[in-house]
Amino acid sequence: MLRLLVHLQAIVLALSQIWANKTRSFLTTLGIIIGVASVTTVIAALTGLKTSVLNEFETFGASKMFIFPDRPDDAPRNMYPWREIRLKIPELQALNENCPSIRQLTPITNEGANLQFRDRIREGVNITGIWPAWHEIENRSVIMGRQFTLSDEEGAHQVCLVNDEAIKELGLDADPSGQHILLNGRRFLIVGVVETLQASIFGPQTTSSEVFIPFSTMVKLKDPQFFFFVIAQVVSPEAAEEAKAEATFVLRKSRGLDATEPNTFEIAAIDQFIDQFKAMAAGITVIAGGIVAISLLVGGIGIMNIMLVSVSERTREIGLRKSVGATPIVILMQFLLEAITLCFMGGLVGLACGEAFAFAMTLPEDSPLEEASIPIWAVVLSFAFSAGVGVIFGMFPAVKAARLDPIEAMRHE
Amino acid sequence: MTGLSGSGKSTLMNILGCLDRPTSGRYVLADRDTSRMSAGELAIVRNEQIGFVFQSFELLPRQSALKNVELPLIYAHGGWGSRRRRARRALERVGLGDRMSHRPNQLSGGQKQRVAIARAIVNGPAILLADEPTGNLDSTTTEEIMELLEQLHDEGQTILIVTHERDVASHCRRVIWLTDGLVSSDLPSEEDPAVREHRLRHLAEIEEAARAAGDSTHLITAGDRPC
Repeated sequence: MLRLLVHLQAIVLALSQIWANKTRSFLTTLGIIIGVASVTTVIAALTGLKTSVLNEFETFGASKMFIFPDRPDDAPRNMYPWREIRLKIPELQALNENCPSIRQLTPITNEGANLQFRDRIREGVNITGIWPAWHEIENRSVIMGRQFTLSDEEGAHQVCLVNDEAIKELGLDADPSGQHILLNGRRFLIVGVVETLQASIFGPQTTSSEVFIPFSTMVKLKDPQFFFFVIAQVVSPEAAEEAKAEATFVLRKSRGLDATEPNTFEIAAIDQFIDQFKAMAAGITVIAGGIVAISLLVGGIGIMNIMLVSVSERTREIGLRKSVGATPIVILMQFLLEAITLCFMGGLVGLACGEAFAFAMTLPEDSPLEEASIPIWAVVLSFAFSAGVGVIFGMFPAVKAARLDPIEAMRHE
Repeated sequence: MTGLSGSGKSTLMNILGCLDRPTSGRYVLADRDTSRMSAGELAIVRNEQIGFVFQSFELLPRQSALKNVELPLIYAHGGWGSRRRRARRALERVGLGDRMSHRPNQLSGGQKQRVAIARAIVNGPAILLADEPTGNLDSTTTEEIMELLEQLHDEGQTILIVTHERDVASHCRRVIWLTDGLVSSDLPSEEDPAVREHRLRHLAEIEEAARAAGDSTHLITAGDRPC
């Protein structure tokens, strides 16, 4: 009880000392303030970035999976010729039928082509061959007209879908269904309009003309060994691992690979990218943490310096306090608490600054850091860190004060 | 306790005040051998048994008289609740009941020393140690402070004054002379030759002053300074 009261007194004393030297205390804690403010700001920005990127992934499809042919590492080229390892339409049908965790899938392939409508020509427009399942998987529905039908696919009809940008660039009607365009000189019937892709962190930053044609039509246009990959939608994000296992099993079986042979394909789920991104964000956090540790170290040295000055200019006072009965431990606590209080208050001000910066980040419209905020663990950590700096760097001056000989101290000028 | 410079007054005083430990021999205070105590234990003994009054007052400049007097009680066992009351009573005892919230720079030298005395007696010490308590004061204030100390002594307070002023020494009941670190004389003040001589001269001065006051305004300078 006595100890507690003495230490309570020491806190009051520390606070009054700090208050008596306001300017000096502020300048001293500036190092800590800047350190804590910068770390919390960086962490807030990272948190915001992470949230928006993960949201992006979410809309992009957390339940998406990519399947593409892949020659095993180190395998001789002739052992796995391209025509053997490339994906084949029957394999896709097998995947569709035998993988309960895969809701739907579409092959996808791109091609640059010249587009012509009446006298307008656009070169190098991106043509994409798709199955109708693509609309749901990519969350880009047909807003006018119709999707491709089964007969379009089976008959490899020369039909196409366009986006708003293509309508604008080619000067098509607002509802272009029924109009014809030339695709590398072939006449295609427009059957509908696809939602324009929103600019995002991933993919194109500006929208451009896009044309979609049935996959089978694309097969006819291209050379028979062309590359394509598959986007599959998993029934739920949690089922990603299962879907991967199922797809691996089905593909290995259809390719007749025995147990010793490696996969001749690769299956990548979107959560792998998420994991990669999280690892990257964690890396940045660690680096920021390192920088902050250095700035707190510098701040701590500043605190130590000012505490040494404080001890030396209050030597007589320390001597007096000792002569009226202050034990070394009480003196130690008094100075230690002063250092800790300084650091703690620096942490508090720094946190307030960081909080202000985090708020400022959320203000601009369409800010990618809309969700920027300081997580609780960062708050706790920065406080713990500043208090720790106070203890470590306050200890030396405090011990020095505690060890002062009262007689010597009273003679000090 | 008196003696020439370098005779060991301060060292003995520091040992008696538990600020220092003897290199040889023992110092037993209230049946406890302090020679082997740790710095922390000595601090507690100082807090409970010793009250210090210094030549240069040693008050905390930014704190009121009351806060200054409370200082030893902050480090004392118990009595936290009655701290303010006890500090107030101590200040009243030294005659500063109306100066409690004044800061040291608002007080005169004599008043500062009174605050210091109040601080020394607030915890009811066994010994009040005063190191040249009037060294920084003029003669009138010296008399006031000595009267205050005498009054405390009459109330039962043991007081040890270190001084080289015979005037101050003549107020004491017992005079110890130190020479080269040794006690060379330890007599009741009535028997101490130096004090006696001083008192006789003092009496003569007073008589002469009384005579002088009859015909002219003659100022008396009290006290001689042999050192």
